[in-house]
Amino acid sequence: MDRLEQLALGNTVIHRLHPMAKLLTTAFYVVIVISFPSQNVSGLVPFVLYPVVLMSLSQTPGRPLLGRLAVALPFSLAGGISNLLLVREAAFHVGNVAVSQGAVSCASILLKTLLSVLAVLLLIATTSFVEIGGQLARLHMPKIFCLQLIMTYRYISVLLEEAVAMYTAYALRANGQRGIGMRDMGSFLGQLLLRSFDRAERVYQAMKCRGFQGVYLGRIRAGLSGKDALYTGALMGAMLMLRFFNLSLFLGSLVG
Amino acid sequence: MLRVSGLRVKYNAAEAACALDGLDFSIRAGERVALIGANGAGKSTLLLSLVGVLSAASGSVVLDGIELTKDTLTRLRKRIGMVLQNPDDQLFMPTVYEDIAFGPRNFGHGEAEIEARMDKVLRALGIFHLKHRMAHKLSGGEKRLVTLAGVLVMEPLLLLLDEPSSFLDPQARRRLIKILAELPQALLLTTHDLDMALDLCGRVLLLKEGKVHADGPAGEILYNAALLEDCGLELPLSLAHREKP
Repeated sequence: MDRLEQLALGNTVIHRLHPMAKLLTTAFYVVIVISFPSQNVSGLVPFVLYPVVLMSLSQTPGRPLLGRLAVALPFSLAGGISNLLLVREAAFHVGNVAVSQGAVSCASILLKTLLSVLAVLLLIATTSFVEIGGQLARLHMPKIFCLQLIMTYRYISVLLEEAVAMYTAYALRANGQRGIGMRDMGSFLGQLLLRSFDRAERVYQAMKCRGFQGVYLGRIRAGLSGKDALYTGALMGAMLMLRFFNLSLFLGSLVG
Repeated sequence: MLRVSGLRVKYNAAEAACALDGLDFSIRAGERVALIGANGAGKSTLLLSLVGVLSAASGSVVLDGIELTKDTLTRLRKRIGMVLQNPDDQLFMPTVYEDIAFGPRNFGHGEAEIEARMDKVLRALGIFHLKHRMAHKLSGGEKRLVTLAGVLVMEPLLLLLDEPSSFLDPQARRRLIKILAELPQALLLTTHDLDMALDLCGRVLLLKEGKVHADGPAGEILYNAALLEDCGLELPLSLAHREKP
């Protein structure tokens, strides 16, 4: 996540947009993409444009995004493959080859996952996590959850460092054993949990010393500017139109 | 400016033993005081009590005419800046910018004012170039200065520093001493680094088992080998092999 956080410090036209505009359009995009019926892959195709254009305008390199996508895809691939095996009725034919409804559904699941995860990753790569948390709170998400989100995100790296330090100490005295033995796993995880509690307590003390009283929403921003509102409205309008008007089929019919 | 009277703190109300047992001392505006003592003497406990993180069983803490109570906690925390021992405990926001802005935002300052204060503090500490860096990617010395910036940006009257030289290499330590020596605020710092105490502070409070065992000029207490040994400490390294002037 470090790399994405670094990217979020950029200063492109997308980075400069109001975080609320980016949050709303991303949420709307994800909802629209997921709402497509499983057999309507062609309708989804124009939605590929959104992440592509966003990546280009925000100068976000593909590599860090693709690496993270690879983590999410296997889960939907498992769901897609079960459709492929269980739903064998033909959806259409390409020449003499029948393409099953399961294959179409599998492609749809994979495409939806790819587009949704990519959109969220692009949001993180163009907006600081504190800003996202603050905007979620302004959308009336419980403030405690928003704060937990910000803190957890920051402390994933601290927890990992703690776990690595403990593992190094373990490995140095484990006589060449690879990994953590099952009989030691309980106490290892228990120690990690106790250390996490201690750390959480000290962090809370530090927060209280700097005036924290249970709510923190980050930077107080003005509302959406005309430019932000135009971006949000235009994108949402276009997405809504593409949800109910199959552009791929329309273009295909023109060519046909 | 700071007056501590009869301060008693217990970790557990049911226990008879006190972590701090009737402390009395005061600190003048701009004064730099080192709080020394063996492990478990109550140094960190005292600092946490002064900012109301730990509640006192009895006694009072008065800063700038304001007594520490539940109602005055926010006003007092605006005037006292505390820097914890481990910078990772204090740098809880993703970037330096967000972390330094955390305190002033909680106290209701506007973004323009926060930005101006932040720039001033970062330049004064010579770390302006770190403003937009990821907090957990900094070196130990950089983290220490950023935690200090996060506190100075609130323009406190009194700075509490818990083991400020821990995690620092010799050059970063020297730089920190120089920076702290130039600050106008009163300082109360706990430390096992008695050389740092000698370099930086004019006065030393020596704690033993939750009580003030000695309170006086650094030049007297830190040269007193018998007194230090009695409290589980040793002469500062720089003094160990030379006579008191």
